[in-house]
Amino acid sequence: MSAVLPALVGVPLIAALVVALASRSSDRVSDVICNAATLIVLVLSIALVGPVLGGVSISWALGMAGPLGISFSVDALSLVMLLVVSVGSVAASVFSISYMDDYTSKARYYVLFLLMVAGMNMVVLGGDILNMYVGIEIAAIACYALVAYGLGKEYLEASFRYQVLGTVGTLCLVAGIGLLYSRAGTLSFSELGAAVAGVEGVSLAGVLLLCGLALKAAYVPFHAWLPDAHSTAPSPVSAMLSGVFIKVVGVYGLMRLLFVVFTPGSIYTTILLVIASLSIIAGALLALVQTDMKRLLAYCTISQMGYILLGVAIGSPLALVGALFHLVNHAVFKELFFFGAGSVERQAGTRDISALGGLNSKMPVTGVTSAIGFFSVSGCPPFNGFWSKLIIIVAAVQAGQVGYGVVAAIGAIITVSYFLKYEKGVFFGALPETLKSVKESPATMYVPMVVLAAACLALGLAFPWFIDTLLEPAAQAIMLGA
Amino acid sequence: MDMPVAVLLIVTAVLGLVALEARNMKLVQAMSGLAFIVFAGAMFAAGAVEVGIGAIAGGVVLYLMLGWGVKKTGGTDVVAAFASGTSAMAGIVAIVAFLVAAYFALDGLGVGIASSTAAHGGSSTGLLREGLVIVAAVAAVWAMLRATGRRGE
Amino acid sequence: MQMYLVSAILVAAGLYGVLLKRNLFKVLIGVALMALGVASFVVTSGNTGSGVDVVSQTVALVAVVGGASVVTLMLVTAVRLHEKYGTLDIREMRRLKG
Repeated sequence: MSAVLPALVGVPLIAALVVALASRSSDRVSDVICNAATLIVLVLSIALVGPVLGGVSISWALGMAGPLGISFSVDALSLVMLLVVSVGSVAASVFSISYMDDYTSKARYYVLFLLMVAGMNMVVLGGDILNMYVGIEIAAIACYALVAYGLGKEYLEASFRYQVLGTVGTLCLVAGIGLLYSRAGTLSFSELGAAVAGVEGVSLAGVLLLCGLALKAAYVPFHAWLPDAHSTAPSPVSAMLSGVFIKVVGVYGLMRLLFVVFTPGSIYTTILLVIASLSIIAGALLALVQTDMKRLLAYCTISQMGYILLGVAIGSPLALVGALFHLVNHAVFKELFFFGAGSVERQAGTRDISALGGLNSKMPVTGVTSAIGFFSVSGCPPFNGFWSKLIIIVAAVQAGQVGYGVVAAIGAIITVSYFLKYEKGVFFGALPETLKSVKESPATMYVPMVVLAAACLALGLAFPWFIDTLLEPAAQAIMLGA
Repeated sequence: MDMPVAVLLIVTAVLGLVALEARNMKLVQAMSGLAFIVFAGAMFAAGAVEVGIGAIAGGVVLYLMLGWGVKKTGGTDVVAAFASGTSAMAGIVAIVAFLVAAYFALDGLGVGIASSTAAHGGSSTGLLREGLVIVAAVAAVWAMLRATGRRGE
Repeated sequence: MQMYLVSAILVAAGLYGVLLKRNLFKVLIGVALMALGVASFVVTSGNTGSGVDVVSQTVALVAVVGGASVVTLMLVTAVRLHEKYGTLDIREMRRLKG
């Protein structure tokens, strides 16, 4: 069973190599290889569910012990993240089949995509901070190039800015890791909790780590790079970035370090709560004024990430469950939305909400699935978003942080308004003359949307089961760091 | 250990600033490569051999890549020497604030490690890991160097 | 303590390039300097009195290798931006609002 762990990183890596070697042959070859690889990763992740939830401890190491070698381990939290990554990447990979036909050299795209998946799996499997960090680095480098994939002016600019800010974040993280090790003598997640108790200098390391992770996760005020990067990237990349990547390289690190370095009740908690609130409100307000579909979605991401951080910062078991649930839910409906936006852009030729309208008649599948996404993100029962937002608000009130609960509720109201504008502007209303000949997107693009929309409903209906089986153990894993 | 290392690091910083200020791009290229080499020297003097070797490799790559870049974009920095305006002021304030914050944060921070594993040679799996990062960068560069981005351009 | 400050100076030199320089190449050189600064910070923190701890060296190496890798990518991005805009001036490229 432990061989599954290196396979989760090795399979995408080998697939990337194969695609690179086969890059001169037809696009279909790389389509098949990438999708096969992401499917295998999904199957492997699902195979881990039984053993991990059954309490089996699975780990794998190569080379020397600890941070000097490569060491992977999986607990309930890693498992949840693995499932998010693998489902998200299968969906994006399928969507890419048709969507990326508009771009040159699909093979190079798939190589980067697979490297990103390998890197992300390395992040969530890493048994110590250094292994986690190297995964972040690999995935981030792949993303920098993926954002710029269209090689147009805006994409290159967005990518350059992302590279600068991303590297500053990376360097903050490295500085924090180095300092933490020098104080604690270890980087392994299981040992850190005890090792840092009462040691001086850890708080500086904590601040550095927090800044680095917040930059990677695009929390306000570190968010400047996200709207450009997520809106100019090709849609499957935006979907992965918003839905999966920033959680894996940003929030996941915060969760792992939550009870270890960022102990609840300390100054860190207050900082995290403030950052979360700023992100919720600022992201939502800035989304209100956007006319570009994907920029609106990007600001929405900033706002929804705030909800996740709010749950993490409150730190109670219920809040952690809410944060994890919202992480999963947001991944599902955000990918759905970006696929929808990508569909619209490809079929109708524009992302400008003011130039669109009435597309429900021409693109019914995209329209219906986006509408389901709308109900989810707006927190409308019985869809998934309702429950995760509710849990976070209730947890806030229960923990005595009523003010933050109010912030979350206000954010939810603003979210509804800007998504109403989005839905009305794109799918309802009058169909402009220029769009009369628009058709629905091909099956490889709308099937992932349908699956994700179904997942929104399923998660919403089956949430007690989902929480009990998967999220509670994951929340426990976070708290074990204490 | 302290003095020579500190001196070499300061020299690195100075070379870096020269590289940032110079208008002749070939000088920029040379100074940047040299800064990395001097930094490697500092690392060797401090006893961090692995890092020193990495810095030499990094310096060589940076020097060569800058050479390529300069060839493609022209030999002189035509952009004005001094930035002006509010964003420049904000930048200067930020740098000063950073130095002040660093001073207070690092004050009293114990140097070095209390207990440590023996300082023997690096591990091959560690190099494998770094190799993956380089592979990612190579793949990224490969993707970015293709002729056009979208079909029909 | 002074050793840490020297690292901070190196980082500050890099920050100068990132924040105040308009030529894209100089911005990325600034990032490279910041990476060197962080690497020396980590090496200082790992000083054992007789050499540097192996893990600290590994972390510092990660900073250097990662930094150099991304700076290389930035270079390629900058060169392509030059192709599109005819200049390396970051102010000419303020199309995106952020």
